[in-house]
Amino acid sequence: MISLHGTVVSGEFSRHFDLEIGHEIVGVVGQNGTGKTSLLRTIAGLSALGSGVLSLNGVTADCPAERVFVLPELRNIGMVFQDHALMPFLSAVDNAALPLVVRGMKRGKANKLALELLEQFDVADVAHQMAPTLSGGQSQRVAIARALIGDPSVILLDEPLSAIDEGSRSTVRLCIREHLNRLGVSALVVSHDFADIDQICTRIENYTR
Amino acid sequence: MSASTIWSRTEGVYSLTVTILARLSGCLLVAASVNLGACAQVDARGVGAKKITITVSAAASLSSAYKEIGKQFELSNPTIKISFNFASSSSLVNQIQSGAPSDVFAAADLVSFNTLRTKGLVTGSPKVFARNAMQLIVKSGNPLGITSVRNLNKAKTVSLCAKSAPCGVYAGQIIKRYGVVIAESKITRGVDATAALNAVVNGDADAGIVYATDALSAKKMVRVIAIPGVTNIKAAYGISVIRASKQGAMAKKFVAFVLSSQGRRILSSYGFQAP
Amino acid sequence: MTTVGSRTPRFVQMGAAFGVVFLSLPVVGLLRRVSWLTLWDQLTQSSSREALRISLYASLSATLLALILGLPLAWCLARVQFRLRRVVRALVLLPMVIPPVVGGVALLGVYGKTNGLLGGVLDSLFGIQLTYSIWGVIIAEAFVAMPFLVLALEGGLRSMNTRYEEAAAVMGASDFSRFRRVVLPLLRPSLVAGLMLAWARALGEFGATITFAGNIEGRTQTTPLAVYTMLESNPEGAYALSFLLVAVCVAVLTGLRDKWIGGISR
Repeated sequence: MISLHGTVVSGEFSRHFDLEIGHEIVGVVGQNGTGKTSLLRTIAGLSALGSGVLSLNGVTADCPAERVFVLPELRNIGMVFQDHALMPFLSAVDNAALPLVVRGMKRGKANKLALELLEQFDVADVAHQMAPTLSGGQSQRVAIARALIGDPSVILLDEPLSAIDEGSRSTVRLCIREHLNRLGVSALVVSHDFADIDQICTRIENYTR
Repeated sequence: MSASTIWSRTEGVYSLTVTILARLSGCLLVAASVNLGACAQVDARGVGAKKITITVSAAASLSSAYKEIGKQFELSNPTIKISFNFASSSSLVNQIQSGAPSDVFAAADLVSFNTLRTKGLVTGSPKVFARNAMQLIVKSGNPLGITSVRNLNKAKTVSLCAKSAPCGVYAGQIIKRYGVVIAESKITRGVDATAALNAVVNGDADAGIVYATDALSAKKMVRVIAIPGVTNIKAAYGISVIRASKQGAMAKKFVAFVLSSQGRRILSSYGFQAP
Repeated sequence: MTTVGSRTPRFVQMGAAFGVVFLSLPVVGLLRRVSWLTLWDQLTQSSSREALRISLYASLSATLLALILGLPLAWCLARVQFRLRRVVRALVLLPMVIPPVVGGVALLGVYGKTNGLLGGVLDSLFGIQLTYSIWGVIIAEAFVAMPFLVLALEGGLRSMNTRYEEAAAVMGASDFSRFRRVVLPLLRPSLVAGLMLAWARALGEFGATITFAGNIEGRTQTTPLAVYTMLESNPEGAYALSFLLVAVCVAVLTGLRDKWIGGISR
């Protein structure tokens, strides 16, 4: 569950948001510059609120007035970045397994789980290729798998299908929707493509300038 | 203040500094040339006479004494300028063999001249112009209680010269005479007599065997323990004109000065013994 | 397609040719003096072996010391905005610019047993004497080598995109975990380049070593010191060791080429 009532700041940009997200998939549409990415970064803990309160699953994660700030690594969030941000020195499966390895799981076991997830996103064939050699679409799918693998309670997706070709879009959209539904998490999807939002999300928040 | 104003300000300051420096150096250049001109005029022994420079390569232990000898020599011979090159005698032999330009060679022994004689780089035998002995020096306060070369092994680090330099050879002879063996792992070898002295004076070597003249110069900073004459060495310092010298006559003049009573007086004031 | 930028004027070509000749002739001159038949014997005689052993041990330790002290320093310089930043950067570059002998004198001023800043305390309280010991060699070498490492690491850290660390943070990696799993692998080219340059510099250090750690055969006489000492008494040995040092440095530099270029083009 995500509850945000406050100002999101990023450099000179500042905007007030009121957001309540339960076990649903909410889509955010809006033009560039309306603060969508900053919103996601704030929820993830990569930026701090200017003012107000952010709670995740009932626990206050960010409250400047009370000097409360939970570090991103403690927020149990899965995030798909706009430019996927896969580690260039790791293979696809190592990348996907990273959230598990980082939390202490043995590499072998983590890789097995990662491989299964990659299969579901149809990128198991490039599992052992190094990340920089993957195509945009493949990287994106690995990034999505990486975001979902740790069973996070909150999932943030920033333009998750931007690099995926027209033909595969429907399949990937359905795949994402299936996983999100199954996990029963709170998810926030940012996209400029209305079809993505339409197919994946259960609710839409429209932020225009 | 925007970046462009900072930059133009900096540029302004920079160009102003450059202009000032340029003007200053211009002035200095003018002043210097006027001065030089004046000097040349004041030089009574021949208006506009050019100074002849002779290079004297001398053992490091001769540094202070020779610098003063040089000063006195220049006073009585205003047309000659002495340029010194101090290093260990063995280094100087190498330099001269490799063709380093030198007019006079003064060494802390006579052996150094042998190679040069065989190669025809010097003529005749070197003239002995002074003698020197060695002393034992320890850190002032003598915390380790060293009383003679006999208990030199009390020291953790002993400073000596390189094995090939005369001061290293002499020190080795003295140590052998005492029947003492000092492990090489305790010996720090300075490149010349001055370096060996400095290791005890400025550094952390506990003791060293150096020339008596060097010990004398540092007597305020170290404790000097005399080495008795029977176990001591008597170093014979030799001087010779280099055959390839282009200023043979002037070089001979310098050698004569060193050997003169005035030269000998200066040398003994620094602790050197009479030849 | 020739553009103005890619045409090289004749005078530039000639200048470059002279530059190459200037730099390569000394190497040729050295190779000429090496007596190849006795090379192995010269290198394996006891004083040479000792010098090589001391050099290897000290230079590797010095590089490690430079890394332990230099990595945090490079991090702060690259990523933290602090007030005395310019002063610290100048300080880091200082050992690169001052004459090595001066560096040795400065080190004596701090660690000298007799009247050094800390040396007296170290000796009276702990009985530690850094001068004329292998530790003196390591400290002198680390002092001159550190700037190379810090510069390389700072460059690498600056050019690193923080998005990878952000991704790692969101997926649950702690500070140390992020450093180990993301920063270090990304820093590898700069790290390798910096370490190799620092090591080569430490290996070749002379002025600070001889002033601070002395010239004790078997204890502090590193290879450069041995070359200098041997020049008069055993020139063949000196040339043999010199050849070895040059060969090692050439190997380092050729091995370095690709990695360094890789690091820069990131």
